[in-house]
Amino acid sequence: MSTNDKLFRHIGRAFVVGAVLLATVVVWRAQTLRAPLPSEQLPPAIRDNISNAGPAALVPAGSRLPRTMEPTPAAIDYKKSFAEAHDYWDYAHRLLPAAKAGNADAQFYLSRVLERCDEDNRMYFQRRGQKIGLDEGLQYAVKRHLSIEVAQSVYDRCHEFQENDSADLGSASDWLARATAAGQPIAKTTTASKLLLQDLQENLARAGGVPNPNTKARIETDSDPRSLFRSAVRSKDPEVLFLIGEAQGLLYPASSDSSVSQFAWLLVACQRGFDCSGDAVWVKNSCGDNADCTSSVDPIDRVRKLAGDQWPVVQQRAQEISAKLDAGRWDELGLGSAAVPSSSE
Amino acid sequence: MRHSFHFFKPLSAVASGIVITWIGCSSAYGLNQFSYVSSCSTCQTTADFVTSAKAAARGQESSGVYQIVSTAVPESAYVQITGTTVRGSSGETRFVISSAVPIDSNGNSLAASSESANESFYATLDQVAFGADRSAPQTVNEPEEYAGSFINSLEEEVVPGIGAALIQKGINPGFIKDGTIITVKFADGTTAQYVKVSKTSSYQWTWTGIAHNKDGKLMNRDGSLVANPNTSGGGGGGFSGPGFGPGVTDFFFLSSAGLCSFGGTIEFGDGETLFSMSNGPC
Repeated sequence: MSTNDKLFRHIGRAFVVGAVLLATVVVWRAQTLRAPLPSEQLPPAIRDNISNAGPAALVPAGSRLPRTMEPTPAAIDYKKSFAEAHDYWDYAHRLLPAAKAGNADAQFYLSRVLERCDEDNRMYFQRRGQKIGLDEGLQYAVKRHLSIEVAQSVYDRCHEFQENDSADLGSASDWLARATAAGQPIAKTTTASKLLLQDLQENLARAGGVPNPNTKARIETDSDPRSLFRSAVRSKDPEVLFLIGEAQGLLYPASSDSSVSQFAWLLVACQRGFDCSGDAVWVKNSCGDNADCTSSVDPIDRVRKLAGDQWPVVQQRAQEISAKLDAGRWDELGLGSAAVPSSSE
Repeated sequence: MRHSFHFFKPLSAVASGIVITWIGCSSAYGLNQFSYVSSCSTCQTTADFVTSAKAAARGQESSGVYQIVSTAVPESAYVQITGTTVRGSSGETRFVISSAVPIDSNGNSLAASSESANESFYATLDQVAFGADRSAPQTVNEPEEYAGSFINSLEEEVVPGIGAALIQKGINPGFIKDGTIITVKFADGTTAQYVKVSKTSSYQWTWTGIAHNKDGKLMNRDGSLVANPNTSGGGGGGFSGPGFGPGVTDFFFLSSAGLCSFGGTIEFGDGETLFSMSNGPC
């Protein structure tokens, strides 16, 4: 064997060994990357990336981060996650990154959590501006014939807002404004209702000649309520339909027909999935602890009871509204005409 | 539509007892001018109210503030009339109107506002004047276990009490549409106007800022009286009409001459009566 032959043989062996070693390293590395990695061991940059992804931050409380990084994460159903949240403090902090990143749904539900906990804490767990604990709050609810179930739920969801500084979460009105500007349909409808209420409060002060105790900071927007409703209704979201129904008395204050419209929109919303059961918070807030008030055979029966003698007319109006929604005849829904498009549409 | 005048009935029943002691008008519009109330069976728009006010002013031959209450829809409007009385060559007098401007309770002109905004205001003014929505008026007696007096009461107690009182009357609070004003009566005789603002939140009603003590005088929440810059000035007027809603048999309206206050009463079929006084510009 020549010197050259020996040299080639060594090179060949070295190549084979190197190839085996390389393959081993590649396989080991691949397995390592797929192996579970506790979130606290993730490098800060990666943790931030996951956090900023928004949807990945909305895994149920207490569960671990996903073990594999999905290339295209599934869209989060924010409405569902809001309905299922049992701790709004935790939920709000999980929404915050997505809201900051510009997700309109996250912005809207963050505004809703902030506003709802502020109102509910004042109603159930404050007395003359002083915070009260769970036991005292429940006793206070019983004394006022409020739903004890709602009171307990408010405590579970919102008590941390009373115990902690929530300044880092921002303000409800600011997040609502951002969600409205971004076109979130329920946010648009909520803003429209607030604008109508703002007009009502101003009219009350001008009509009564006395200062209005409910004066709040003005909502800054170039949109008018009708254009916001008109734009939002295209989503056909059941909650949008419910809120439009609720606003009928504000849209048409002198019309005796507005009651019929109110119940008709409510009926359409119930038929299309809005929670009109006895378990719905809006039903319990209206009825307190009165079982007769909350009970109904089915959600449609609730609207029938509310409508009373107007029920046949309400049913007829509801059918008309549904037909117009399905046909996309938006200008015929009593929300004004879109002849002059607004900037929000 | 029935439209009759029963001016002496309300005066004897209410004005003698309450209007005489009335001092409630916090309006900054303290000009102490002539004020007059009349009804209009066709009024709904600003033009309708102005036309009706001009007719009333010609009849009264006086400048001043005219409150026109529509008996067609639950709306009321203030119209400020300016004019002069001229005498003809044969000695007859005629009132010549130089301006007729719709105004709010503080005397601010509504002329620059849109028609829809004005009609919303007229609907609100009507509810404030009567203390109820004439389409579906409700009286609420606040249960004493929630709040026995409006003075220094808490919204966290008054608001649930309103819901409980309605349910006791067999009325589901969800039936009442947003924007509806009700007058809440308390056990000590104080009253306060509340407006429905939500069907979903825990605060479904809020106070409008209008409350009266047991003597019918406008007061603040702490019970102190609201000062009235209007202490003199002529005027009058009144009328009676049918109600819009079920159970309402009659309503009437009157002005308390010289005190720039306007009052309305709704009589229910069951004998219950709801009386309300509010400020007026004059």
